[in-house]
Amino acid sequence: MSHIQVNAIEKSFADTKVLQGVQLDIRGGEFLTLVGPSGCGKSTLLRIIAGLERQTSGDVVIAGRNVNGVRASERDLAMVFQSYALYPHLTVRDNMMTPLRLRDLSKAQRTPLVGRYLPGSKKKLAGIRETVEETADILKIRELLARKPGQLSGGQRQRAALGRAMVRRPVAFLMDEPLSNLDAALRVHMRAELTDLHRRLQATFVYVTHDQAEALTMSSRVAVMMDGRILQLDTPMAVYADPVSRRVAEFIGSPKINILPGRLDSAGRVTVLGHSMARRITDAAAQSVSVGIRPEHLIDVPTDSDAAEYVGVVRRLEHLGSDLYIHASLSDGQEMLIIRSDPDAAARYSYGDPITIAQVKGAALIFDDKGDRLRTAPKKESAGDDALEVA
Amino acid sequence: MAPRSTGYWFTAPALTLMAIILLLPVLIAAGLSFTDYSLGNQSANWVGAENYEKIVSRSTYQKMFTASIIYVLVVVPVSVVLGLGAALLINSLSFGGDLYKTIFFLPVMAALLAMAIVWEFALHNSVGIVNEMFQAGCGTIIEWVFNWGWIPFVDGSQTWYGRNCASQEFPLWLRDRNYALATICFIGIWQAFGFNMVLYLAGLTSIPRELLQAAEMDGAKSAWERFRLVIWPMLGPTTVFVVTITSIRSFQVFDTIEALTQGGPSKSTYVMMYAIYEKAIQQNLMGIGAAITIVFLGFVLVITFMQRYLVERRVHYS
Ligand SMILES: Nc1ncnc2c1ncn2[C@@H]1O[C@H](COP(=O)(O)OP(=O)(O)OP(=O)(O)O)[C@@H](O)[C@H]1O
Ligand SMILES: [Mg+2]
Repeated sequence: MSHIQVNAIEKSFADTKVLQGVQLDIRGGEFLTLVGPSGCGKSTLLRIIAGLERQTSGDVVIAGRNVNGVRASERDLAMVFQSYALYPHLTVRDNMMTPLRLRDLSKAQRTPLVGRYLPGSKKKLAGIRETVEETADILKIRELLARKPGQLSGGQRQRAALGRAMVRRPVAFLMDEPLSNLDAALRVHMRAELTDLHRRLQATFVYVTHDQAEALTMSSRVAVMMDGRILQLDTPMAVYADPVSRRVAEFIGSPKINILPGRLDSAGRVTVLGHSMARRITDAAAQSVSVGIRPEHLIDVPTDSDAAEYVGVVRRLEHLGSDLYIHASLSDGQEMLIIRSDPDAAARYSYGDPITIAQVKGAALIFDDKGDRLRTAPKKESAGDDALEVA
Repeated sequence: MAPRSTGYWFTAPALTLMAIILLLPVLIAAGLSFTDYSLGNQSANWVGAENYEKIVSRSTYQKMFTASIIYVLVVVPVSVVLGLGAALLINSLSFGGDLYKTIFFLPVMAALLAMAIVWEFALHNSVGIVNEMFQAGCGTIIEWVFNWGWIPFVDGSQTWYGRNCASQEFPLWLRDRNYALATICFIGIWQAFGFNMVLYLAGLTSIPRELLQAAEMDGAKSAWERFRLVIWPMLGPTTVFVVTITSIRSFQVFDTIEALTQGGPSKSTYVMMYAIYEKAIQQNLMGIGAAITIVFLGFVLVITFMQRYLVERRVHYS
């Protein structure tokens, strides 16, 4: 368990700059997830931390030691690859024994055929065997130890790869989309298992994914990456509820956050489709802004309700069992809104029906024309902060 | 439902062609091997196993087997190891790899008959570049190095180079029965290893990069560790193929022999293919030629079956 610092890492391939000054402080024992769209440089950053790729500039510091000149095999990190990269000719047991063999046995003891008869070999091998079996017990793959990777299912292979990474008790675990080859049900299951494993090992995990559900459910902290930069590094809840920019808000959350065009006047008042918002923006010039509202902050209300803010037409109903998402086009025909509702609402609406929508007060996120977040002033009226109010 | 025989009718043309083109010649050869047939004769006499008895008993054919087997046992391991080594070295180059690939592959592409003329000149005992080179080295530092006299307990004047320099006589590479087969083997290796290298290069590119990186993460620091842990096992299928192909090609060696030694001197390079050619074509002894052919096919079959049943199962992992 150890703390990893990534300082001003830049990386260029030929003339494309893939990482542009990444700054990251990974605390010992935390589960940090790097999440971002495809091609944003997550894998590249992870491989630089691992030592499999060299950065163009910047430093990687592991447990206080600058490892820029240290090769991957000497950084004492373990990596779980997307393809698992198990040695296909070795049994699961031999796969898991390999890192320990390479670390604990001397060169002479590793010689094929004769090595195992050298003094000391037997004892060390017995120790290695024992460690492997303990690890196999934790991962519940003991009965698979004698099989070769070709004879395992995807989930079993994933576990074997985890086992090979775990036996050595490395400084940190680096994982590059380890669940992306599994089917949906198994993915959800392995998510829980990885979280458990992290709790049990108390080790540092650096986890790369482009799946925000994985990022939000497993991590202690999430780093949202785009175009070779880390846009936000915070707890999953903070990244979701308090994004620093429009791009983060749009990337995190499913279904996507609703974005409506708005106008900020010099008094700090934001107007959206003719309604002005309750909260004011402090210190920002008058400009056009984007207003982001998450689907769960929109509520369908009776047509005659006082709270009604937007009027639209139902275009699609998305029934997920526990939730119902209503896609509605607003009356100006341009904007689409997604509203989360309870499944009972399905009885009330069908395609083409009119719908009136209210918004939970104070939940809107305002972004300036460059996409940066504009903070609202603390609300004056303290009462009924999260209640529905007239706009 | 179509009648059950329909399937047979559909496969019949292919099966017939296969029988006529592939199986029939072998069967005819097998039949001929029990006769004393000569081309042009009206008829032939059934001689039973006489041809095979000759192959087993006569010293000419024992020399034939010795030459063929030595050739295969030398050329196959050496050209496979050299091919693998060259492929690994070229693969580790960051640039210039293509140039080396082309150069090493040249002998494979060149017509061996044409190259044989070059070798004939190069190995000529008075005007050949090989012997001239050895001669020129005598009395210089080259002799000092290569007569191995600098190694403790080695008498430089008694080693191969030392003695030849002293007598100012270098071997007749292709006319001396002590050297002819070795020289032919050398040319065989020169030609085969480029081919093996190309096969190994293809094998190397198919090794997943992540596997090598996993080995690095697991602590395989030296190139040797990575070779043992990943590269060699992953090249298993390639190696089986390379060894089989090189063995069969080595059993079939003919053009170098025909161009350079004609099986001599004293039958020291009298390999199977050349024997078949000499008996069946030159001397028109079809019966014995066919018998050698059948024995030859037997060898090739054995190699193929060994590949199929002994090795192939162990090198495919999925
Ligand atoms: N060896 C390379 N040579 C040139 N460009 C590369 C190389 N490796 C990666 N890139 C480029 O760097 C960028 C980032 O790649 P990277 O693999 O880090 O993306 P990623 O965030 O992991 O994406 P994904 O989620 O699809 O795995 C991509 O645009 C890719 O094309
Ligand atoms: Mg990636």
